[in-house]
Amino acid sequence: MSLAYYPGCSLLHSSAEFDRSTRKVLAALGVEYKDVPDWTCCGSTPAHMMDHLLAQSLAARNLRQAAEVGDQLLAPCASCYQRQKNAEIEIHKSDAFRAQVNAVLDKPYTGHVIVYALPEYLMKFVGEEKIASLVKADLSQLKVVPYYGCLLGRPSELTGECDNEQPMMMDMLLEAAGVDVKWWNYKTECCGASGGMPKMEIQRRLSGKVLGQARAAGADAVVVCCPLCHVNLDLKQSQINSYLGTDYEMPILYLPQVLGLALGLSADDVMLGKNMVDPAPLIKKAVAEAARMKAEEEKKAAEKAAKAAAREAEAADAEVAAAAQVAAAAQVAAGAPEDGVAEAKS
Amino acid sequence: MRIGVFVCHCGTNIAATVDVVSVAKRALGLKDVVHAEDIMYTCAEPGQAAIRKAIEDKKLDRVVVAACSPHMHEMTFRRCVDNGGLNPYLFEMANIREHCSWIHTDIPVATEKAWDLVKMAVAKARRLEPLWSNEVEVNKDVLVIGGGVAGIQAALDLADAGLKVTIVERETTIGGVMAKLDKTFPTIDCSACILTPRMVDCAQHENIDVMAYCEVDRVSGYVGNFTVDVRKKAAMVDWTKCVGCEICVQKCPAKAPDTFNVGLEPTKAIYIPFPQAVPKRAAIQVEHCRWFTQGKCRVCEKVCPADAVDYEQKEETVQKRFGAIVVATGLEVFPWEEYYHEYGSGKIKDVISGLQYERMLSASGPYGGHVHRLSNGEGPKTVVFIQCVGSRDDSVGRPYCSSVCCMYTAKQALLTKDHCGMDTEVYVFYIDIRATGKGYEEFVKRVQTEFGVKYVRGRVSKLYEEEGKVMVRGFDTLLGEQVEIAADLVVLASGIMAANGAKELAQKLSVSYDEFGFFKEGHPKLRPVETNTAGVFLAGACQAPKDIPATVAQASATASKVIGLLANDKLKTSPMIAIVGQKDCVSCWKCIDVCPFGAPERQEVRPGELKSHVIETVCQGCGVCVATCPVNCISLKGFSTDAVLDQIEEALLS
Repeated sequence: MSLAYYPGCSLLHSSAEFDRSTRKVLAALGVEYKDVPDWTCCGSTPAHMMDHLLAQSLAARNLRQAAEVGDQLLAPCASCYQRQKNAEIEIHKSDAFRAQVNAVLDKPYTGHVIVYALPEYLMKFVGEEKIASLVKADLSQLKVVPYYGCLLGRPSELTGECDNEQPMMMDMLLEAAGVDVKWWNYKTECCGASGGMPKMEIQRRLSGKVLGQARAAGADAVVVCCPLCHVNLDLKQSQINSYLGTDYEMPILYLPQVLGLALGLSADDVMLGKNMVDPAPLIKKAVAEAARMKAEEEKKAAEKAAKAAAREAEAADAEVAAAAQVAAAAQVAAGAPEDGVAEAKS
Repeated sequence: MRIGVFVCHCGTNIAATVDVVSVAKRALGLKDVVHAEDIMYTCAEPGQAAIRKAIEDKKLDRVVVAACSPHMHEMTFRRCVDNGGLNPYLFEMANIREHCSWIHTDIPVATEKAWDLVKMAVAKARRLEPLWSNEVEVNKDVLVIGGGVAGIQAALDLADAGLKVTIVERETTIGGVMAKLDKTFPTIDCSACILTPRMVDCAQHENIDVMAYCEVDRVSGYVGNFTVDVRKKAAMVDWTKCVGCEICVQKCPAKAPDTFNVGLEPTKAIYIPFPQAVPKRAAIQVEHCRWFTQGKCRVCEKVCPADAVDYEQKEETVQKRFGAIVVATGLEVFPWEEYYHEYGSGKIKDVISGLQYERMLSASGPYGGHVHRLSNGEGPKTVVFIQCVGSRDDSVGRPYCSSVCCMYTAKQALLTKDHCGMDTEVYVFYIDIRATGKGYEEFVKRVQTEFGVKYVRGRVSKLYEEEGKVMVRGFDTLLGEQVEIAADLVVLASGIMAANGAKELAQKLSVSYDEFGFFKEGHPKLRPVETNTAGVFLAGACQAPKDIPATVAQASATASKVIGLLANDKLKTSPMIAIVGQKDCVSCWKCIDVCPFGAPERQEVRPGELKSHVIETVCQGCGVCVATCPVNCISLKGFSTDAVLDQIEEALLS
C-alpha cells in the first residue's frame, strides 16, 4: 500500500499551517507519501451544488492522478475528503457511472483509490499505541475539545466513525498524544460554514456558540481538522467577539499541530505563528504546568520511596533478628529429642 | 386404492388465478383417483359434507384437498375425514393458495403449478398409512415465569381456578415494572396502591408458591409434562429466618447501585428493593459487599435479630414438574445513553429517562416525590419531555412503537404541573400522539387544555448545557422553524425492549421470538396468547410492548387458555413422530445430538447392545433426526421417505 497526499486549495494558502503540520507529523510517525501529481479542484461547493457529474468528474480526476503514485489518498481538508470519498464510493460501486465519468475525463480513471481523512488514516494505519509511544512533550495540562464540524464524521458508516453525533477519532488520537480531552455535546454542530458569506450574522452566532460551549466544557483550546471551521473560529474570532460582545480568546489548533507538538516538533515546525489567536502562550503555560506538576510528583515519589526504603530496612533488620531466633529455636528443638533418646537409653 | 380429490375455489382467492375446474377434471385421470370435484368453499359445511358423501358413495380410502395452507385448515379436514369414517391421517393437503394463487398473476402458469401440487399430493396420498394418537397423563401444576403484573394476574386467575401455581421471579420481589410506577394513566390512580394488594394475594394464596430470586435454567418435556430446573440464587440471607425488618439495610456501610430506583440514588449492598416487597426479604449484592470484596465487615450478620445472614449460602437447583408454562417476563427500558449521543450520552445530569422520572415522582422513591434537578436540587421551572426515544427510530434499530410512551408522557406532564405548580412550563416534543385506549384521547386533551402542557410536533436534534440550563434544540414541524428551549429538566420517553435474557429463555422453551426478542404468539389474530410450542403461553410485554390494561387482559386470557388445557385429565399426542428401525441402527447417536427436544434415547435391546429409540411423548415430529441419520433407519410417520421421494418424482418426471 502506498499513500498519495492531496493538499487541496485551502492547505496551499489560507491554512498552510494545516499542510505543514500534517506533513511534519506524517514524517515524525514514519509515514511515507507522495504528493498527487498535477492535482486539481476537488469539486467542492460550487461544482457539487450545480452539477453532480461535474463534481464527481473533478474528484475522479484527482483519484486518477493519485492512482499514479498510490492506492490510498489522504485528504486532510474535510471538504476535499468528503468530495473525493463521495466520488470514490459512487464510481467504485457502479461501472456504468464510472463510464459516464470517464466520458467526461480526458484520460479514464480505472483504479481503486481509497480516500482517507487525517484522523481516520492515523487511527487505521498508525494507531494510538504507536503515537503514544512516540510522545515527547507532556501536554497533559493542555485542555482541549475536539470539534469535528459537519463533514468529518458523517455519515459514520462511510467515515468509520462510531456515531454520527459523537465521533471519537480525534478524541482518541489526542488522548493517545497525552492531551487533556474534555467531553462536550457540541462536536458536530454547524460553525456557520459558508452561510457566513451571504449573511455574516449566521456565522457569528453559530461559531460564537461553539466557542461558548468549548469554554463551558472547560477547554482552553479547540482542535479542528477543517480549514473552514478554522477560518470561522480563529480568523473571525475577534469579529464574533465584537458582534456578540464576548471576550473569547480561544486558540483554535489543527489536529496535526497538537499531535506535532506532542511528538516533539517545535512551534515553528507546526507554524503556530500563523494562527490568529496566538496559541503560543497557552502551549507554553500548559507545558510549564505539566513540568511543575511532574517535578512535584517526582519529589513526592522520592520522599515516599525514601520512607519506604527506611521501613524496609527496619523490616529487614527485624527479619534477620527473627531468623536468628528461629534458627536458635530449631537448634534447641533438634537437640531436645536427642537428649530425650539419650535419656531413655540411659 | 380409491383416492378422492377436492379442489377449492376459496371464493376468488384461488379461482381468480387458478382454473380450478380444469385441475379437478385432470385429476380424474390420475392413477387411483376415483373421484374429483371443485368446491366453492371446501372448509364450509357444504364442502365438508361433499367430502363425507364422496367417502361413503365412492368408498374413498384416501382424501386430497387442494386449498389453503395446512396451517389454516389441516385440522378441519382431518376431523371431516374422521367423521366420514376414514382414519384422519389418510388425508393430504395441497396448498394452492398461499403457495400458488396468491403469489402468481398469470392464469395458465398458476394453473399448471396448481396441477403439479395436486399431482404431488396424490402421489403422497398413495403412501399414507393410518395412524392413531396416544394419550398421556397431564400434570395440573402451572409455572409462571416472571412476577410482574402479567405474571401476578395470570397466577391469581389460575390459582382461583384451583390449579397449583409456581411463580419464578428473578428479582428478590415480585411486582415488576408496575411496582416502580408512580401513578397510572388515564385515571391517575396510584400504581402501588392497586398492585401491592395483588402481590400480597399471591403470597397468601394457598395455591401459589412464589419463588423469588430464582431463574429457570432448563426446560424439558412437552405439553402436560414439563420438567423444569429452577435455580435458587444465593441471597446470602436465609429467607426462612429473615423477617424483613431492614435493620441490616440501615446499618450496612457499603453502597450499591439501585436497579429498583433506576440508578437515581444508590442503595446498600444488602437491600430490600421497596417497602411493600413480596416476599420482603433481604439479599446481598456480593460484588458490592465489603465482606465479599474486602474480607471485613459482617455488620449485617451482627445486627440481624433473626440470625438470618449466611455468607456461606450456595445456589441450589430444584427440579419441578408442570403441565403448562406461562411466560410473563416483561420488559426492559431502552438504554438510551448508548444510542442517543445527541442527547448527551447520559452525561448531562438533568436529562433522565421516563422510568427514572417515575421514581422521582413516587412518594416511596428516593426523593419522597420531590421533583428537582439532579444538578443542583432546585425545583424545575421548565420541563421538556421528548417522546419516541428508542421507538419508531430506525437509526437505533427500533422501528416499532413502544405503545405506552405517549400516554405515560402525558401523565408525567400532568403530574409535573401537579408537583411543581401550574406555572411550570411543560413542553412535550412528539411525532404523533397515539392515544387509542379507553379514555386515553380525552386524557391527552385534558393535559393539553386544562393543564396547559405545550405540545410541539417535531423531534429534538440536540441537547447541550448552557449557563446551567439544558438547551433543547428541535424542530417545530407545524411552525416550520427551529425552536430552542432552555430547560431545567429533560425527561426522555425511553421505549420498551424485551427483557434481558428473553432470547435465551425462548430457546430453553423452544418458542419463537422476533428480531427484537419479543416472543411470538401462535397467530397474530387467532392465537394471541398461545405459542407455537404446545403448553407454553404468553402474557404481557414479553410478547410486544403493551400497557397495564392490555397486559392484565392478556394475562387473564392466558389463564383461561391454561385452565382449558388442564381441564383434560389426558392429552392426545400427535402420531406423526419419528420411529427408529432398530435393526439397521448403527448406534452413532447423531439423532441424539441433533434433536432439539431430547426425544431419542439409548435403549438396551439386548444385554450390552444399545440402539436409538424415540420417546413417543417427547418427539414433536420435526424430522431433523430423519434427515441426519446416516443409515436412513429413522422415518417420520405420515411423512415417509418413500412418500417424499414419490412427490419429488412426480414433480420432476411428469
